[in-house]
Amino acid sequence: MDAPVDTVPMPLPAIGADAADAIAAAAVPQAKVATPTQSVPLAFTGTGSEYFRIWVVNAVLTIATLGIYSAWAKVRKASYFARNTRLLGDGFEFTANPWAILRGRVLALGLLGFYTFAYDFSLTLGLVATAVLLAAAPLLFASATRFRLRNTRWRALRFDFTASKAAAYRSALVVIAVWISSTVIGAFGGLDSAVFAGFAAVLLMPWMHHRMKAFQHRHAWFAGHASSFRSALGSFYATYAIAVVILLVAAAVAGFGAAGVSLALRSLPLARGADPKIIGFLIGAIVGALGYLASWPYFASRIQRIVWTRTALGPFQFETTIAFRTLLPIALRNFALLLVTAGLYWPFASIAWARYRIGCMSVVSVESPEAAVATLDPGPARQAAGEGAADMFGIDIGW
Amino acid sequence: MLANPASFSGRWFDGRSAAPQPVRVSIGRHELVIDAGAERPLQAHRVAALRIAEPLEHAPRLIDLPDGGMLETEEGPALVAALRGAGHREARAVHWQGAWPASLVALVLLVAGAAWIYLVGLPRVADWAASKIPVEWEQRLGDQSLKVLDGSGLFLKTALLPEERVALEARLAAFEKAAGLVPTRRLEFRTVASGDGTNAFSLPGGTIVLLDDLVDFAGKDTEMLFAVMAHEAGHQARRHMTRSLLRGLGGAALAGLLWGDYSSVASHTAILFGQLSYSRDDEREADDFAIAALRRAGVSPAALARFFNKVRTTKGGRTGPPTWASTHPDSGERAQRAIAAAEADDAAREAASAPSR
Repeated sequence: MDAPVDTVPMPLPAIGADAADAIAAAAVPQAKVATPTQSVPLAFTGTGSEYFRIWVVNAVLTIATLGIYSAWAKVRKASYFARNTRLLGDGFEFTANPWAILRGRVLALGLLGFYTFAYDFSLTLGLVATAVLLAAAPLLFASATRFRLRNTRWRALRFDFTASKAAAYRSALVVIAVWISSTVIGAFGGLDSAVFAGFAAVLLMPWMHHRMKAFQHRHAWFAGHASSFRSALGSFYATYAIAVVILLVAAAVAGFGAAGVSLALRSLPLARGADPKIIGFLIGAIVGALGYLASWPYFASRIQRIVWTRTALGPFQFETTIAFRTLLPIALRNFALLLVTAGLYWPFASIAWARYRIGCMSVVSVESPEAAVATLDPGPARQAAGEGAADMFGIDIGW
Repeated sequence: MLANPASFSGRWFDGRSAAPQPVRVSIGRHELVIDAGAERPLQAHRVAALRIAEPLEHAPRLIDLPDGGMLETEEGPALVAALRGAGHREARAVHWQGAWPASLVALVLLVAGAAWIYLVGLPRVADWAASKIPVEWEQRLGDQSLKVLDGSGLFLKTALLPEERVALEARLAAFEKAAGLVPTRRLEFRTVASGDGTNAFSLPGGTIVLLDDLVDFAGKDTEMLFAVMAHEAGHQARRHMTRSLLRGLGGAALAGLLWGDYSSVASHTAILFGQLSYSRDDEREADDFAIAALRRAGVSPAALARFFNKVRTTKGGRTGPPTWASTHPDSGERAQRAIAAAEADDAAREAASAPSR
């Protein structure tokens, strides 16, 4: 479907992107002299204390209006992060119409409600709801991406996303087929086939994720320049595999640790009220959460690196210094402070996370980004239905 | 001579090129004028017709021009004052989020509002909605759920003989009548595929499922079966399954609004713990309902305690979650409540019989 961009042989998953980058860098020192590349870092200037106030006002108004204000809150939040993301000193601008987002959210809520309750009435209605959802999903996903990009500008130059309906369906068709077949096997086959279908779906998850990212990163535009994305399926699989290993190791450590502590405490004459079971459970829960916390920053940092080092936007390419060992302490600190503050640290955590993940990105080009000149066609902003719906169904469109 | 309009340095982007143009911006009574140097004509715009971004502490002000261009000027009190003088009004939310006192008031309102909604508002709305949902809808939901459970392989057909079942059904029906309970619409028997199934459960719309292990364990202690039945009847009478479904939806919406913007993990965790606390309240309510029903039928609430003690001895050896992370309150605590009720009955009976002696 998409023009193949795999002109560069894919590195073995075991080598990984860092090694491949190092090899590529070592191989072209002369080329570097011939075509000097400019590297411009992105910076993030948002602060927790400012965003905390935006967040708290957003949250109060959202609750007071029974969720209606959430569309306006979303624009304020997205605008805050966009304007504080700086390239060559200038921030990005996010100018979506909140009414369009509200319409999208109402539609998404309707779809979700229909899907949730349809099966309670009859199997036929449930199947109809599933069919509607599956038919709408690729369009909603494409439309969410388009809405976000069309409403983003940098130096008055607009981003865009131009995947056709056909391209959206083509890209999602196999994913949907896999999803339907695993659901159908799960529903009509026995327990064994359901387990098998679930296992197959899990095995295909990195492939689906990669396909989704490729779809997004191959149809974006900025100021007349089209984006491209070099496939990295092997790296996606390696990342998923290592993330799962980290999770399993942490879970095992958590299990043994909790059991050990529980046993040790049981043999001691404990003061009244301190139930060793509870202490053991607490320790297990904390270590398990730490395992998840270790796995997630690994996953996030690897995927960000894989995706962005293989993305080009016209003459621009991207570099990132993102590293697991830097992201991990940020994630742990955020988690600890979120627990201590019963969730009120949330805006500070969002800022800390964004500051690192955005600050470690650079834009690389042969010509100066200043020289990017383009003619624009800022057509009317499309409906936000896609954006709202993708939010509801938990499809996270990463930065 | 007229007072000079406020003047600022800025950068102008024409919307076709990424190259910035240094400009002088003057903001007068109603107009904003851009001076891009001697070679270019002055641009004048009515301030009311411009889309002016909200002020931020660490980012310049962005002003969208009608021709697709954009103006960027440094933020500051002078700019705010000049724009106000030209008739530009910031949204009220901007004033609140700009000042710490207003934000702290918002914080207090947020915590109080979220707590009130969670503790009072949501249960009330869910109970009201549950009372409006037609019974047929609940019955269909319950029948569908049972079908799903039967298809899951977790539950198998009962090993009880048909005559045993009929006898049991008759005794339970007699108890329901004596206790003044609504007759159970659909009583089902199943056995668990693996593990201990000394239990019973309720599905929406009046379906109660008794598991073989419970019937076996009760043996001749029919009163224990009555107690469990009365507990499940409590879930049915109070429509706990439908209510918890509705509360779950409301809780998901609330958590999503608060923390759903960046990660769904935090909001899912919040929903889970919220569900658990609602669920524990429901169990206590069903226990109270059961104790009252047993009393009406002349059965000692101690029968309920005997069941909880059994649950405790079966599960006590294993490491279970503490109360706040569990769907059910601590079995020991529940047994004690039933025993306390039984002891109160005994005391009352003694007190009543004392004067006649």
